[in-house]
Amino acid sequence: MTADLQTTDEPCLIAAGLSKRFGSFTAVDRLDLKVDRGQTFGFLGPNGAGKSTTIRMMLGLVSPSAGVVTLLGRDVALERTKALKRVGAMVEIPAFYSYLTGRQNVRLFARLSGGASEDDVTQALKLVGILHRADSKVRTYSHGMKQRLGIASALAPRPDLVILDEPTNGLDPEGVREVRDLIRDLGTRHGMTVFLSSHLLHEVEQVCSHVAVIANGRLMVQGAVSQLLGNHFGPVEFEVDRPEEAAALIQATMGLAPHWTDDTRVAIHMDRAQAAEANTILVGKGFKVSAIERRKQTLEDVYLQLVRDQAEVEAAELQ
Amino acid sequence: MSTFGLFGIEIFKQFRRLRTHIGTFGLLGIVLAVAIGLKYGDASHFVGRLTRQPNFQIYGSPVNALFLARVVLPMTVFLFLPLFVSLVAGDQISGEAADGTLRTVLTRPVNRFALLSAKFTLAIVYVGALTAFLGVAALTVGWALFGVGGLVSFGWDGVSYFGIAEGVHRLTLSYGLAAVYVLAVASVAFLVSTLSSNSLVPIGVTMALMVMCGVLGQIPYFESAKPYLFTTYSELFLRAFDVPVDYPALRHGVFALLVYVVACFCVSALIFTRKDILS
Repeated sequence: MTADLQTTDEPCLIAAGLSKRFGSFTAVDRLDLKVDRGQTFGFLGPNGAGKSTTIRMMLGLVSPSAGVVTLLGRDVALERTKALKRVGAMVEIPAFYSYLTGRQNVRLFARLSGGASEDDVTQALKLVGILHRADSKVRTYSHGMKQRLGIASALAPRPDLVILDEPTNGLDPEGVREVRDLIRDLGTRHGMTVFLSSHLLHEVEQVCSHVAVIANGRLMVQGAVSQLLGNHFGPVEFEVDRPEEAAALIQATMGLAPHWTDDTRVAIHMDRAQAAEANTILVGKGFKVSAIERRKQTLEDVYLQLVRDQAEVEAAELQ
Repeated sequence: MSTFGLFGIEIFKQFRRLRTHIGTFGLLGIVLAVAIGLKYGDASHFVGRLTRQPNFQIYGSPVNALFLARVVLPMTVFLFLPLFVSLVAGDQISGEAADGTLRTVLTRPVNRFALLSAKFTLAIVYVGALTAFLGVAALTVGWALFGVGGLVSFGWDGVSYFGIAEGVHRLTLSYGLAAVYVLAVASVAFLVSTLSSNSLVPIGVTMALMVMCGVLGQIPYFESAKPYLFTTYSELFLRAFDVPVDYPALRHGVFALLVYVVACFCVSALIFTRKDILS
């Protein structure tokens, strides 16, 4: 079913110079994204960053003010229906015909995508764990069940590319874990390429191989999660007898401001050589250093730092 | 997916919705109320009012299946039928926008023009079906309660009598003309539905437009605008009972209404195929 696509190395999804303006407000600003086949790609950003508008442009719901989106080798603006043929999508809170059953909804939306066998429909419902309620009217579903049904209806036609907008929104902790496992499986076991947006960092960190971060409609960073974490060192924590004084000393001698201090430790952003130098200075001045540890950097740290940097840049621009 | 395939899906969905059947129950209620009034009330007085000829002496009763079908039409064409079809036609795009299902549908490989055409076809079929239902319900109830006979039709300029065959022919023509007028109203509601994300707006706007055009049509100063107002043709269906039928006038009226229908569809298509789906 994917023979024509497997022969090419063409990226599954490309956004080039993508912009959307609503009047004088720029929701998305010259965004470039590239998702390769087989990736599970996380699209991160705070609320209002332009994630949904970007996804709407990718799916042809909103026409871009500038730029191009290519899905599976087809330009969405020129060949929308062909581009969406092998794409399964869920945009924001999934909406369904409440007067139809879950199964009828999945079947109906699958028909719009060119059809799915009854087996595929059942399989998709089973995969998201709502098979037991499949023949109840959607009106009776909880928010979490609708969310699962949204994923099921995106998966039923067995797409090559799945685009999910905040897929774990509204799920209870157990549901979040289930959906996270499911998304991981889509890539590894079912060979699908997954593009998911989220504002939940640990979710993206656990599930995605690649990530792009946007803030205020602009791309901040894009790359493999492992690479991104490697490029951004976490602060080094010194366990010392007098943390406040130690922080003041390092600031005076090395010009490095402390990240934070508490009763036993001081944390400072620095590289390996600086850490060794700081240790020498502290010991030389009679501080009792009992431990030195580089904190493991999480995507959350990177993300918060990027968003903070962006805010500072913008504050500077305003002045 | 083709317009035809999409139409199948639209029919499937529409039939399962309560609002689709509100019109049916509403019209059946009106037919039954009139029938009961004629059967058990002071028939001659009621007939006098229905025919707007209170001073006309009637010997025997004109009431039968055809008569019932004749009198329920003017009772419903000016308000109920337009209201009931607006409920469905005006909901086609706006209702799905409000529910959010429109964005789900349009993330699928569905051509927007094909989807709009399917929905508009559904509106046309619904108008036809609802108007036909009114006629069939009136004839059935009338036949059961009063039996079948020739049609006595009272107009502003006198009384006409048609044999059963001619009566059925005139009624069919009249219902057809009424359906074309109601379709024009439905088209307006459909057009407004492409502009709104609230399914009450198209109904409200359509009803307001009907009243406004009706008022304009009665002000002599706006006489020149009258041929362009769709409400000018709201009474076209009554002319099916003229003796003889003025076919050129009917053709002219039908043409004017169809221009409305086509224009509304074209504007809807222009709006819908370019619209950003933000709901």
